[in-house]
Amino acid sequence: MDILLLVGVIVFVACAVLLKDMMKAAICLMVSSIIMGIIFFRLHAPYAGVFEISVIAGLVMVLFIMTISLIGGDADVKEPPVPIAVFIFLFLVFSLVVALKIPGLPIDQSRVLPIGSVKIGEVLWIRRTFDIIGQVGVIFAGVFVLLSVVGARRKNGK
Amino acid sequence: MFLFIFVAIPLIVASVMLIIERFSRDVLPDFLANLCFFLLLCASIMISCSWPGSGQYMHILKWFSTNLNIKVVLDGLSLLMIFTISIVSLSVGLFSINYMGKYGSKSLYYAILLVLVASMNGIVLTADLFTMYIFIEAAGIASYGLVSLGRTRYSTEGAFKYLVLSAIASSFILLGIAGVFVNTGTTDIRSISASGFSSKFFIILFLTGFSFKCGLVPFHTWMPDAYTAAPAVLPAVSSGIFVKVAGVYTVARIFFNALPFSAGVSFVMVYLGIISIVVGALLALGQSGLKRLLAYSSISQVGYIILGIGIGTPLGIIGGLLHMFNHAIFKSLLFLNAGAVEYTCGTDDSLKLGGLGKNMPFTSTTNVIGLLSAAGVPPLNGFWSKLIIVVALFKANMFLYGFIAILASVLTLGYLLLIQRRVFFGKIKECFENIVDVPFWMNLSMVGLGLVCVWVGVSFAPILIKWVLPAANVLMQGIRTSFCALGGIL
Repeated sequence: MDILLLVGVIVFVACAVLLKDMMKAAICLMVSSIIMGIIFFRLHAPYAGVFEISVIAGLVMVLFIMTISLIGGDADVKEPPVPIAVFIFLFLVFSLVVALKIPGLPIDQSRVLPIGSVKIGEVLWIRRTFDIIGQVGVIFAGVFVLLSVVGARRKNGK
Repeated sequence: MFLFIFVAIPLIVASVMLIIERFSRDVLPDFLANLCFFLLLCASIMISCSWPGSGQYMHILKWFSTNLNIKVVLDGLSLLMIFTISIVSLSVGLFSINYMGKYGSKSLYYAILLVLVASMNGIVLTADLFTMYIFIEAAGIASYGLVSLGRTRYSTEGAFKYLVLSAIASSFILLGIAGVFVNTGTTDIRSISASGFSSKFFIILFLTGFSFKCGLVPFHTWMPDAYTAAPAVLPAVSSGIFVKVAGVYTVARIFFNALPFSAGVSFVMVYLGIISIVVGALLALGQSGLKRLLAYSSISQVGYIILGIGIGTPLGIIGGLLHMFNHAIFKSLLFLNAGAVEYTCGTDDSLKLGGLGKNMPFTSTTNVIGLLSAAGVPPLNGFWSKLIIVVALFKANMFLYGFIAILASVLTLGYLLLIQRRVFFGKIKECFENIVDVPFWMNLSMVGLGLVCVWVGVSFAPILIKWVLPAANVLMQGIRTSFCALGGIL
């Protein structure tokens, strides 16, 4: 199941890179983030899952979609066939490497968090509070940069 | 609470910047941002004055009686970084009062700069690898925003290149942190050190990731493009402090205080350092653009820092850390000088300029101070740090590297003097005959940094005792722990 989810992440991330239509690319990225969040939950890392889904799949995507709408990047775009073929080839090579190598990588099972050992709220607000300040910094930086770029385009009349 | 202001105040001021813009477009944002930088500098000096010279301050933040679990840690190394960040950010802030007027909204610019400063302070004040990573990301996004402020095709290209390479570097770092967490069950630096965990694979991941952030050869390609395209304040902040905080500081923290500092790590750091010194200096030779030349020069100078720290001896670490501080000052000064020339003449291409020294005496004089300092000419600050690094190399029997470091320093003097001659000396070109020196705040900022170069050079002992030795002690403590853990095999 986890391998399937990982494959899903790779497919959608690769689509996000290869698709010419920015809106479709942003949606692909959002889907990959949601799958990534699910993987985090399955691996008993709920706080990473919460951040992934709320910040990356949620807030950052809103910023992306807002930017794309503002700059008019949501017009119809014809997708060229060559990148898709390249992607399929790369995906198959990567899948092969994953199939051969990943099971061999050592992970000390005794270090993996037991199921239900921590609650999301406890991790977020009690154990990793300083991270939230860092996240606030990330969000501020993202919003300010976006406003700056959009402001510049408006000034240039584009 | 006191230590937390280094992160909280810039973030709070950044958050109100957009509201302030509605009332005042220039004066209030200029005033508030610079007041914030000034307060942080005062706070860092106050802490330095009361600093006992060893140990660490640890604050766990509380809101009334509720424990917020925000652990802020300050030791000798963090103190040196906080002090450096505060000096450079105030200088850049003052310079921006006049300089940033033509780059759109000043409030937005200051907001991004403040987030960058808060994030850098966060990096040096945390004792947790994952929190450090989050702040590195925040600082990275803010830097990307500053590059894109150039608002030309080239600045967009530079910003994009920087963003992509930075993301690759971050992936390496994150993978390294994940590996350490899986194997030790913690991301706390002290706990990782206590576990004695070491893995070549994860060391390689960290070294690769942070080499990108430092701009070391062969991971340097983002630096010239990003610095050339951006307004001069970005390279002044980035080369001056961001590269040191997100690259050099984190490398030192991880390899000296978290993972054991091994002979292999030392070997790689020395090699990366020496290659960067030579390649950076050679690439700088052929450049005519001031900011591009200084970008290559930064690669070379960061090489000195990594070389010094990588030797792993007390003298090498002291030299590396002192050069980190000195480079922050003189390279920020040189980038601000380049910005002043660009501001006045509309170009930073040295081939199109000439004879500006007569009309721009402050810029010309401070540029001479900066370049002599960069080349390691006595009695300026760069001389002492380079001298200590070279002596450390000789004492560690690395004679060849010592000679290479000296030759590269001569090369640095050569290309920087050539630029000085082309831009400031000789006969002034007709089109620039009527230009005048830059406005007051820009001059004040450059003169301030120039004075610091002279002050540190003339009386470098207090700086060494107050800031550099405590920082070096923190790293040496890490080496002693590694030595014990490895049973004396180092």
